[in-house]
Amino acid sequence: MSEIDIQKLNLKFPEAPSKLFTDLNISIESGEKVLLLGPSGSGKSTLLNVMGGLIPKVIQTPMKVRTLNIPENNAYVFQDPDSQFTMPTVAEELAFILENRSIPKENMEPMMMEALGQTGLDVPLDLNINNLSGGMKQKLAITSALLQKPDTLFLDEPTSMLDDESAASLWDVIEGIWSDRTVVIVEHRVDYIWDKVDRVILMNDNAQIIHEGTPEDMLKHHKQLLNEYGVWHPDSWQKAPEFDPVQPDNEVLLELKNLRIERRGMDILNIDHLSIKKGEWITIEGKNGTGKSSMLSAIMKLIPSDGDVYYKNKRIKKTKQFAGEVYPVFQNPELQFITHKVFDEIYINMEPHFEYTEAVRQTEVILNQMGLNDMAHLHPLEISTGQKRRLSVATALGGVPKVLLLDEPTFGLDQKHAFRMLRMFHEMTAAGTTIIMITHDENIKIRYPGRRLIIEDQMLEEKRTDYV
Amino acid sequence: MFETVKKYNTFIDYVNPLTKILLAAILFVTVIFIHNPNVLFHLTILMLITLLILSGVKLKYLILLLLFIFISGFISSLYMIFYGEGTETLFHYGIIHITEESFIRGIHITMRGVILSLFGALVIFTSKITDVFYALMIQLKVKPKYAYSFMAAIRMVPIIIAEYFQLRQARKVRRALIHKKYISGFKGLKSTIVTLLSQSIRRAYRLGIAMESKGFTDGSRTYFYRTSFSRYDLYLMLLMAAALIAAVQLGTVITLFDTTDAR
Repeated sequence: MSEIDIQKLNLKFPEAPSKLFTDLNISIESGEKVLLLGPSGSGKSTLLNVMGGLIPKVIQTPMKVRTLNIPENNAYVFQDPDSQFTMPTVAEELAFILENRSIPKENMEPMMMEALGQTGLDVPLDLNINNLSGGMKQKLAITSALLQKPDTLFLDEPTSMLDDESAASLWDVIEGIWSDRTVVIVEHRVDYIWDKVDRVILMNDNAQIIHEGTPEDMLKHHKQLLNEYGVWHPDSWQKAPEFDPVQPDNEVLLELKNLRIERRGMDILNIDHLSIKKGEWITIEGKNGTGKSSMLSAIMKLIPSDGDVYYKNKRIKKTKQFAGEVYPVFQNPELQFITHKVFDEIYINMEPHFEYTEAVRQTEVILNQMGLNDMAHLHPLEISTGQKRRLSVATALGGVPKVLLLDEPTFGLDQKHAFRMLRMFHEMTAAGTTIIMITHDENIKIRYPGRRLIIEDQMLEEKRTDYV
Repeated sequence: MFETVKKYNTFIDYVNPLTKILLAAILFVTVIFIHNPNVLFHLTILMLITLLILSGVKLKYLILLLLFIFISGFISSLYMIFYGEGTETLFHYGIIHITEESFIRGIHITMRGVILSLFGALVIFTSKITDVFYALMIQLKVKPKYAYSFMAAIRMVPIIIAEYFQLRQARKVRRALIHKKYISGFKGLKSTIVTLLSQSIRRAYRLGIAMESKGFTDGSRTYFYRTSFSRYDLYLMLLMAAALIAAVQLGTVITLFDTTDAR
């Protein structure tokens, strides 16, 4: 019996120039596990919201459909942990759902404990949600979904903000609870679930279903199609760009001595000595919460730390002394934007270095390189997450910094743009720029950096590199 | 919200937030009608003792807060003291004219403010924000959609503050690469506000969808916390009444001020 059956769906967002879906058909069997793939903007999340009835009930959107059979009992897990919880503590958040279902107070706690047991989230009930790690927040989101007693689960990029280990652990939890449920997944990072779903559905930029099939069939016969639309699949990295290793210069640009970072009186990171040369490509790895991002901020002198930072043999006491030469790109791209147009965001970087026509030309080159020309006229805050990330990296290119510090620059990018960005980093190192990047992606770590640094037990250590 | 500053719980923690708000309102009206500075002085001392013992907050934090309350109270009294009218001149220099009457009036006003601040601090330190909204929904029948919106909004506050600091750091490093006209002055302020607001609106929109997808409606529901009125509410009312009576009595016995009417 089909759980979801949608025939001839037509949908148009009021502000959009044309329809998103035209006569779209999709049906999903009861108990089926389905993975929805497609480039960003292909309408995957919108389709998910139609299947769960959020559109048009909650998000009022004009739509027309001939057949619409959708499950009554469903639950969602969304991508951003910070915008799906209502209440301050774990118990109150879980109770929120039980209150919605009018469960008597006496039954609430046993039900919470049972659901927490199923997801293996072992935290005190009165713990503040803000104190949970990203991975734990997503487990809490699944726990609350379970309390809705859903027949169907909709997962909208649940792991997109997690590191590899937390993502794997989350998928284990999801697998543990999905046996008699229908599950529809929208996800970019597919390594863990590819083999576990029954069907893969590929959508294109025009929100049409291009192809569907079993995961094996998709990989065996339609890999070309997957690559063409730039979506990740388990064999994506076979087509990864390969570069000749760049021999770094001997000039030492950055030097850290006895750097020590504290957070709330606790030691989080110690670096005895680290020297970074011109033209090096370095990755920093470590689990969530080990202080990778703090390390970048400490190098930039944006947060207090003990010990010394030297840039070109000069001791740095204030950010101002080397800002511009050493430039960080943070994880939240939105916060780095200043202007009201994508074009201006890059142009203002060019302005101090070139006269007007040349500055415009250089801006266009970068827009092109980052695949942002089509949205040059838009506000930086209204473009997609992947586009924002690319734009935030682009803001680092103008002044041509000598050292670039990047916090997860390829997060949330599709295959095509991730590869393009990696190629750009390679070209930059070849031209003498030093790249230091935090990344969770094993595939990047083993392929590109000249040196790998790893944070373990509050210490920064060098990891031996073996290129593949 | 105050786990880090709290040392122990007292019976006031179990008093219904509505009782506290009601008492605060009554106290507000009461101190306005007390014109005898001697009574007000004793009430201040009694409220101070109540806060010190019954708030359950670590002394270190209490002292910081008290310093703030007293200093700001003193500063606000200066207007009254410096420029008030009166016949018994204590000090005169230029436009500053301190008289005995204006001095007492200034102190009087300050004590009113301090009493309300002390009780306010007691209420805040002994009430969980969720309890306040549950009490509003259960006892005062406030619609769940308002109560839950506020609770969700409060959860957002630390996120927005953290975001503001990240934004400042991001600008600090970007400043070096661009002309400063984009980042300083009104333009910089505007883009800061637009960025923070749009981030919050986006988050609120997503949260709204998440709440509805979790089956939230404005209709009937059960409650995880059961706020009700108990004997503790009575205790607090009695305590406040006792403090007031004691202050009035002490005010006639131990008199620091010569006058009984500061008007």
